[in-house]
Amino acid sequence: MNMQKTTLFFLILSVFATFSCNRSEDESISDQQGSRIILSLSVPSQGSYPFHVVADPDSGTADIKDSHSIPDFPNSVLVTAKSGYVFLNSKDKLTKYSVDNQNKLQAEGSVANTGLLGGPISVFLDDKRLLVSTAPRQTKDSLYSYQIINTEDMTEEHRGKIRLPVTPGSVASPSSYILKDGKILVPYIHADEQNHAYGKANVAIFNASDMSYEKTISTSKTACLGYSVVSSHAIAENGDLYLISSNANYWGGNESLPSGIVRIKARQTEFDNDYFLNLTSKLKGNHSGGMIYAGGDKVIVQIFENSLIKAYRDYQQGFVISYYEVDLKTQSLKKLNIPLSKYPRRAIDRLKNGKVIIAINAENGENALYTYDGATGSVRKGLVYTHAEFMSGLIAL
Amino acid sequence: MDKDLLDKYFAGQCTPEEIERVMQWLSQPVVNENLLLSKSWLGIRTHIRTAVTPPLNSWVRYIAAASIALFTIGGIIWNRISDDFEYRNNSASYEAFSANGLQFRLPPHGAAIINNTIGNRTGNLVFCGHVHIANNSENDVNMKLNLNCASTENPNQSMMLRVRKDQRYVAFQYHYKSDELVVVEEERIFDLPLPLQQRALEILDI
Repeated sequence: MNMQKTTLFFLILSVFATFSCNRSEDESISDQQGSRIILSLSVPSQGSYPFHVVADPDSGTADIKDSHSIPDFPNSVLVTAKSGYVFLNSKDKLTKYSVDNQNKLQAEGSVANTGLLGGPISVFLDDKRLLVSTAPRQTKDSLYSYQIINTEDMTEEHRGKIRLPVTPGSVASPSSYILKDGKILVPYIHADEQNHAYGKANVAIFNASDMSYEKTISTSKTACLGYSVVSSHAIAENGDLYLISSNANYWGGNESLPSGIVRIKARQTEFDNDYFLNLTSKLKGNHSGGMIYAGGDKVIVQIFENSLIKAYRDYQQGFVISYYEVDLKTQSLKKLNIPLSKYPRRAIDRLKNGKVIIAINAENGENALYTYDGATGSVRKGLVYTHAEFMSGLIAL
Repeated sequence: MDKDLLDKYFAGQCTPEEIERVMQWLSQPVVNENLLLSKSWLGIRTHIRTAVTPPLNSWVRYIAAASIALFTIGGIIWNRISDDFEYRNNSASYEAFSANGLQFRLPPHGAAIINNTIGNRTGNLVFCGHVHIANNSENDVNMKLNLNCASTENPNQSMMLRVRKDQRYVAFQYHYKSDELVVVEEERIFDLPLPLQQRALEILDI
């Protein structure tokens, strides 16, 4: 009897252990899938701009020799990603790619686009419908083409134009679309002919169902909301929308007003006049770039260190970018312990596992991904990328 | 003829009468003149023959011929590879021109100097405004680009650019705190921040 009990005990133990192991592996696979990203890389001295899908950005190394260029479309541009698929824009078409077991991109279908230049802005309206504009984002008539693409079969569902309100002699530049409570919010730069943003920040609001114009809201607390393809907004768990200004001379070109974060509360379509997080005053005159939500009312913001900027080319090629953790509720700031970086475009994204990934091209020549964990508030160096002149963008898959 | 009279004649010290005597003597034919002349020329020819350098041996002749051929071919090659090019746009508008596969569109008063040497093709562009560069040659070209319209000199007004073959570039002046030089591959304009992107689009008329 004792022998039977002992045997039964070990049998149960082994079964438990087996299931425990399986669950652990499942979690590992799930976590790995939740952290996969695509990197765009730049080796301009060789005219090479390949892509590299990285399964685990938290550790290890990757090398340019394992990256892949898109055949016939070497200058494809990252647009967005969803459900493991990547969308890239080329001269004439927007293409959907899957990622195979060797992390290579496989074309799954294309649709004629509205242009290549200007940096494509987009948002998924639902699981399959993509609102996207790929054409230049400054036009004299203030009309901007958009498409709604069915990404399941890559067909164009609708094509149209939106008009952003501008004054005569000025220009507007729409930034990434934001879907909020059935509306499409379009932060845009309203600027003079020299591309200096006027002293207010604007958001145009359209009905997401038919893209009909509803209104434009403005705030004079800061200038220039919207930072092109770089994330510059955050939607908190309660639905409040936060937008960071990009009025640094790099982008909006109006530093007479402070950079900061404004809020539009959930189910509202007006700025919350009681909220403004003045970053410039907290950061000794510096101005901001992008912003990404990190969970728990915290965001990671991109800051240009003004004291290091002697010429315009320093914004793009100098090591002048630092990152801060910002608590949207308490308005406290904490500088992240990571190196100064160059090239601010598309350098931040949030992984499906909730962590924020930051591409750092450091002055010591090391290109590395840093991971910020909102649960602990800690940041650590992960994957080191070798033999790329710099990492020029990333998107979480 | 009196030798002393001849000396006096050549010294210019003769009286008119003495001059008349010398002239009459000089006008008289010399006896056996032709015989004397032929003997004289035979002596001169003999002297010349003895002074001529001995003939070259065959190796020396081959080397000399080869050297002449090498100099000739080298001169032709050098003339071709050292096909340096200099262009100055003295018109009041932008002008396009090409040099050995390199194509430029230069602003007024812009200048381009292309130096071709073996295995190293370099160039120097000086301009104010913007310039288009297309390299349709078979090799990359190292070029130094210089803004010459800036009010003050700083390192941001010039830069080295490796103009890769089969690529097109646009270089332009941008004023931030001072004039700066911005260069971008035409196909990578979307890499530029918005203000520069807009400027590049205007230049390319897109």
